Amino acid sequence: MNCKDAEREMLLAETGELSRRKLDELEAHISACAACSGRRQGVRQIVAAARHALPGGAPSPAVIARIRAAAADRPACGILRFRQPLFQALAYAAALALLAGGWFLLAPNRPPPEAPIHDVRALLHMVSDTVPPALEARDHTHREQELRALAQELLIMEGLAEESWTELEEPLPTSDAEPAPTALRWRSTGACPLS
Amino acid sequence: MEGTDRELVDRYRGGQVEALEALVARYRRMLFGFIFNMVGGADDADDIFQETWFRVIRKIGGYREENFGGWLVRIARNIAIDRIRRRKPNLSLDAEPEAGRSLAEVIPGRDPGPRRRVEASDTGRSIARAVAGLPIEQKEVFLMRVEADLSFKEIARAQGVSINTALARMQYALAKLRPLLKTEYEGLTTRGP
Repeated sequence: MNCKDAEREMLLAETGELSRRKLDELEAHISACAACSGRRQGVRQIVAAARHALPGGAPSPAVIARIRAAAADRPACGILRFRQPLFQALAYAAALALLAGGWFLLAPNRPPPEAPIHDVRALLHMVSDTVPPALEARDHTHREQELRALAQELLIMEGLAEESWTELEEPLPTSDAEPAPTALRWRSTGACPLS
Repeated sequence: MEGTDRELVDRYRGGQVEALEALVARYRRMLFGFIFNMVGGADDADDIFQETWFRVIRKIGGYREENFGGWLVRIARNIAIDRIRRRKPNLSLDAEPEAGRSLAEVIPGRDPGPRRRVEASDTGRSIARAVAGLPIEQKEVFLMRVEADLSFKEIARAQGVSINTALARMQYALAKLRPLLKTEYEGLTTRGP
């Protein structure tokens, strides 16, 4: 180790950022080099003198009071906050997918894998008492339409899409006892299906 | 309120405002000293100290750092640099001072006033003046090391440079301060191990 390296490494040694091996090498060099030994003392002396001499003090009480007020006004929380609505929507989508996947794996009477609409309906059951009537008693021929409607609802709920009043191609089938519910009717209630 | 920085952060996130107050109290002197010596005045230091904590409050929900003090100093440093740039937009912080005048000399300093920590000795006052006169990057490194007690890894991260660059800046700063302790320093270097 030369004296140039020694000066850099003595700075790292002061902050505990030097490996054991390098530290041993440094100590061996300093014990044999009067100039580096004095340099290390000098560095320590400058740092100690500066710590003592640099002006400082404390912030004014008014500043502390304003920080305290801000801390009380905006209590932090551990819930993730997203600056971009897209990130928030993606996080919600990921959470929904996880929930759906978990339910699918754990539910005792899980539906056959060819019926994904059941998963979505069950998911809505889990988070809300209100399940859109259009989702009840359905054959599988309209699954794609329903999934599209649900996706649209999620986007609207997240503010990522305008409410659309486009009529679906055909009314969704229902039992004889009910009025013909359509995806349009469900959406037109304006109520959040998850609330 | 007792606890590690991490515990206090978690408690504040959980709704305990006192936990943040404890963090403010814990870092008050260190942070204020760093800011004060960066910008050279109590009024600016008050503003920057306040803004630093406001940002902490806004960002603490996403806090994932290992070292709260290092995070705090990084935030304060960025605000201070912005303030210095706005104050003198024609000055480049990357450029060496012209005609032997440092940025700290070009920017008028302010009287520390009644909050001055100590009545420094002549040597101490000389050191304080010399630190104020260091080029901004060297002054930052020196203050982050001396006032904030950050490691060179943290200093390098705050400045966005390599550890070697941070070390070199510290060496330059020490080289400028060393003559102020010339008598004592020469005595030390001529003495054998």
